[in-house]
Order: sequence, then structure tokens, then C-alpha cells
Amino acid sequence: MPKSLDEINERIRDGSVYVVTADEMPYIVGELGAEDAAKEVDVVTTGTFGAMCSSGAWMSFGHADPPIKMSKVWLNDVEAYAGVAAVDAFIGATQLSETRGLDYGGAHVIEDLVARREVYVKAVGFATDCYPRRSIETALTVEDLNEAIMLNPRNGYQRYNAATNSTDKALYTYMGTLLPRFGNATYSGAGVLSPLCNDPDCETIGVGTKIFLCGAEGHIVGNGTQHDPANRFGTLMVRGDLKAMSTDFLRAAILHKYGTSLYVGIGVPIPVLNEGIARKTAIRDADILTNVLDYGVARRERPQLQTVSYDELKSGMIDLSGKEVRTSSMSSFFKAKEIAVELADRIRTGSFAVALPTTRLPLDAVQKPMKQRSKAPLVREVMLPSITVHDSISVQEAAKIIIGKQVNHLPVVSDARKLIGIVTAYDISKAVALNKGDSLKGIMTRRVVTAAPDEPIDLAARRLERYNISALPVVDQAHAVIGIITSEDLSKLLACR
Amino acid sequence: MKIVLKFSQRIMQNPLIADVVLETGVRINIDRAFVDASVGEIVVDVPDEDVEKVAAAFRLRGVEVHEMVTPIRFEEAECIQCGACVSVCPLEVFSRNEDGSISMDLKRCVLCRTCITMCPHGALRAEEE
Ligand code: SF4
Ligand code: SF4
Repeated sequence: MPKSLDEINERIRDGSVYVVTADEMPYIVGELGAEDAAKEVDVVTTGTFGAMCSSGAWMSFGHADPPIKMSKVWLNDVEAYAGVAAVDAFIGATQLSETRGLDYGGAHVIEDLVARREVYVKAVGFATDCYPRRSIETALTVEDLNEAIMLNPRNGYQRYNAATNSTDKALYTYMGTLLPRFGNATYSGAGVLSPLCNDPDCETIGVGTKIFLCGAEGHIVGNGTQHDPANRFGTLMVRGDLKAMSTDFLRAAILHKYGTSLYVGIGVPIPVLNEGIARKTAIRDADILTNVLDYGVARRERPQLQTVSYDELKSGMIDLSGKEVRTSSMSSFFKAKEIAVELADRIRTGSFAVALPTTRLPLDAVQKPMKQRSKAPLVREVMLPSITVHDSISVQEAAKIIIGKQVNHLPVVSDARKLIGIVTAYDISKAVALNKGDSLKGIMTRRVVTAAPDEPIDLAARRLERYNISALPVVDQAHAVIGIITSEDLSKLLACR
Repeated sequence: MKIVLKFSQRIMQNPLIADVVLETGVRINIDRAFVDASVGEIVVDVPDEDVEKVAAAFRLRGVEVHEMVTPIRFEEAECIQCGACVSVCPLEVFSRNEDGSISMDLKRCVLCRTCITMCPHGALRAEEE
């Protein structure tokens, strides 16, 4: 028997409503069956607390005297977008401070505002007849703003790919530190508590759904950007009053060598209107699958190594083709549960009524890659022929080649023409100065960082930077040297793009 | 017990650890070493009963010796219980409980600092900072 929303809200009013958190539903449905569970349970609360980069807040400052039309505005040295009328601006979570680098950003400004700490504001504009002022500096708290509205373009990802790293250097990403040689894997998402995982067909989650947002009452505005429900990567755009939020459910994040992000706490109530909804909210961590991607490959299509469930991810260890890899969550399940419980309490005590969406979210949105006018050039298109030397030659002979051919790097190859090492002009002069023997084998670097012919030059450039080296031999699949690419040539190329 | 050895560039050239091991006969395990042009800092693990003897031998050689109590300072109020620290610690100091909360056994820490940079909300810091 389907239940109406009015019946549920009536029960919220008279205190007889039965609310559970989403992680309890698998057991309830397991015990009673979906039909009876739908009769028993009125609302299932979900929760998520994760670093959501696509977050920010609109602020309206009020007019100064004489008035200014702000064209650029900074809060604690973090620029906010002010291209909307005179005194409104949007601060984004990942915008970085112009003075404090990667350690302070828009997310921190938002946390400071929510914590009711004073924020230093600086704005400039050009003078007009109606707005004669050119600049202003002041300090204010969130209470001094006329409006402070959180508006997050993309939150609440249904699930997210897990990340690992095949390379031999640690990577610092928005998924945290990825240790070399599959040293760990990180993941994000609340799994069993995730709002969209509990309502994958967006039956109750839609435009106008009332939600818990960082402690305040908020709303779903519509689908988030990059919303891809067909592939179970649905997202939400949410809105709420920053002034009513609490730092218990909102925190700024610093991702080492990546930048800032904002931990946003979202709770979505799902009214159990019928058996079908009860069945969907009975989803378990073991049912929610995601892909493990190799972030060692910095391309749009990162290699998918494996499919794992949130159950496996949460166990702390996954098996990556025979290798045990430890896992870390970047989002907080503990907090997600706290949010689901808090929302359930608010509903039970009658302070949070449940609403149905006025408009459904699209279920057929398609995400296409960016349209690029030109393709990024590939290494093979810009590499130069490389002079190579055999490992049997002497240091003296190598020195002659370096001087004669005016090169700085000499890849060293074996009989089969395979790359086995590299020597630089510096290695040679050091060997000569220190009188260090005769054989090239003794002085060459054996672990050579290389480039592949079919990768974009940006990747080669980033590799040169990361390893702090100035050339990469280009090798084919058989590890034979087919060219060389140097930082000097690359910087010329990248500069004129 | 873990102790921290700090020494200046002046004595860095001497085989300090080898000398102390030979003199005291105590098996010392190096947990972590950091040396740059001006200072050296080494964390060593010494059997509890031998700490005094070993510390004295190092001090005699001009090395500053500190006991390492809780090398990483954990600020609970800053922790969001995400668990990002869990997978990066080589000593498995952190573990995730069933309810998603995080437990830690900081006695095992060797101050490699990986978790400090991994922690997204500055809940982990080095004691001396
Ligand atoms: S510094 Fe952090 S990661 Fe390193 S051993 Fe200590 S607790 Fe583990
Ligand atoms: S990474 Fe930091 S915030 Fe996350 S659980 Fe560990 S100590 Fe807490």
C-alpha cells in the first residue's frame, strides 16, 4: 500500500513517525521484506561528508558610502568572483589565497565565516557617476553580510572512483597522497549512506527536496554539474544559508601539493512512499561498486585496474591483482553517520518536515569530454633523434661524442639496442675530474626516466619537472631508444601554445 | 623506547652510532634519519633497560638526546574522522573502527611525517612544531 507524503508529515507532526538511517535499512528489509518495511518505516535518512571541491558561497556586502561597484574583491586575500552587479560576489572553495599559497583558500574563508571569525575584505572598482568610489578595505563577520548563501554546483557524488598509483614516485592529488608502486589506494563516498545510492532513480531526490546542509536547512536546486545518473555518477546542486551552518558539519581541507577543498556535510531524507523505495534503500556497501583507477597515468581516461565494492574499500585492504593494498577514505563515514542520525532526530522531534521534489532530476544526462580545437601534441611529433652510445665505450669516447655532437645527454644502449642507462655531460666531467675509471657502465644512471612516443607533451613536461631532470629518452614498447625530448625544447614549444 | 638524537654538523662526520653500539653492546634500531648541511636528527629504538646507558654514551659524544614521548600531536577537535591517514602510515599507527571512527597508537610512530601532509584538516602535527 503506497503512503502519501501528507501521511508522513502528519506523523512527523504528531510524533509517531518512524525514522531510520540508511545503514539500518538492509537489516529491516532483510527481516520484514520490502512490503512490510515500507509500511513500518516512514523516512530513511542518508548522509555524506566529503571534500567537495565544487562548492562556494554567494555574499552580498551592502553598499558603502560613497558607493563602489566592486569589479574585483578579495576575502583574506582569496579572490571572489564579482562580475555580478555592484556588491555581490561568489567565493569558490578551491580558489587559493594570493599570499598564502596552497595552504589557505576559499574553503578556509567559508569556514572562517561559518565560525564567525572576522574576515578581511578588499575590493576595487572603476568610478562611475553612480558609483564614484574606486576601492575599499574593511573587516567583517558573516553577520555583517546581508546574505551569505552556500551554493554548490556539484555535491553529493553518488559514488567516486578509487585512486592508486603505479609509478615509482608518490603522487599528490585531490585523492590525497598516493604512495608509489601501489603503496595505497584512496576512495571517497559514504557508500551505504550515500543519498543518491539510496535513490538511484531520483524518485524523491529532485528540485526542491529539503535537505540538511552543513547543519542548516537547505534545498536541492537541481542536478549538479557533470551529473551522470546512467553511469551511477549522479550529482546534486545544493543551496543553504551559510549563517545557519556549523563547523561541526563544514570544514576546509588542505590537500597536500594540490590545494584546498571544502568538506561539506549533506543529509537527505528519503520518504518511504512505497515498496520499491524501501527495496532501493536496502542497498548495502557490498552492492555499491566502483573502479580503481591508476592516477599514475595523468590522462582523461585513466586505466581502470579493477572493480571493487565499498565493502572491500572500507575493510582497509583491497586485493589488486594479487597484491594487498591498504585503503584510506578521504571522506568521513563517521561524520556521514552523525549527519544521518542528526537529521533523523530533527525529523522525529518535528523540526524538519519532508518535501517532495517539484521537478524530477534528469536521468539521461550525458557527459562529453571538452571540445578541443587542437589536439595536444604528442611526444613523437616533437622529439628529436637521439644519439645513443653502446655500454662498452669508454668515458673518454663518450666525452668526445658529447663535445663533438654538442649534446648534454647520452642514452646508453645494450647490444639489443635497449636502453640501459644515461650519462650527462656533468657525469662525464665529474668522472674525469675525480679520475673515476674508464667504463661508462660505472658512471651511468641506470634507472632512466623515459617518455612514450604517444603521450601528450604536457605529461613529459610534468615528468621532467617532478624528477627535476632535463631530458627524457623516448622509448618504444621494446624499450629501444627512438628519440629524445629535452626541457629546453619543450619549454619553447609550451611557451608558444 | 624511542629516543631522538640531535647533533651538529661538527660531529656529523664521526661514526656516532657505530661507536655507541660497539661501546655499549646494545642493539640499536634506526627508525628514521634526517641529515642536512647543518644538523642531523636520528630517531632510534633502544631496548627500555638500556636507554640510560645508550643516552649517556651519545651525550658523551656531544649529541643531544631526547626521549620521544608522543612524536605526533593529535588535535581531536580538528579531526574529521576521515581516515585519510590510515593507509599512508608505514607503521600502521592508525586504524579504522567498524563505525568509521579512527583509532591511533601513537607510541609506534617514527615521525616520518607522511600522515601530517595527508591529513586534510591539520589534526596531526609534529610535537616540536
Ligand atoms: S609520522 Fe605519521 S605516518 Fe609517519 S610513522 Fe608517525 S604516525 Fe605513521
Ligand atoms: S587524516 Fe586527519 S582528520 Fe582524517 S582521520 Fe586522520 S587525523 Fe583525523
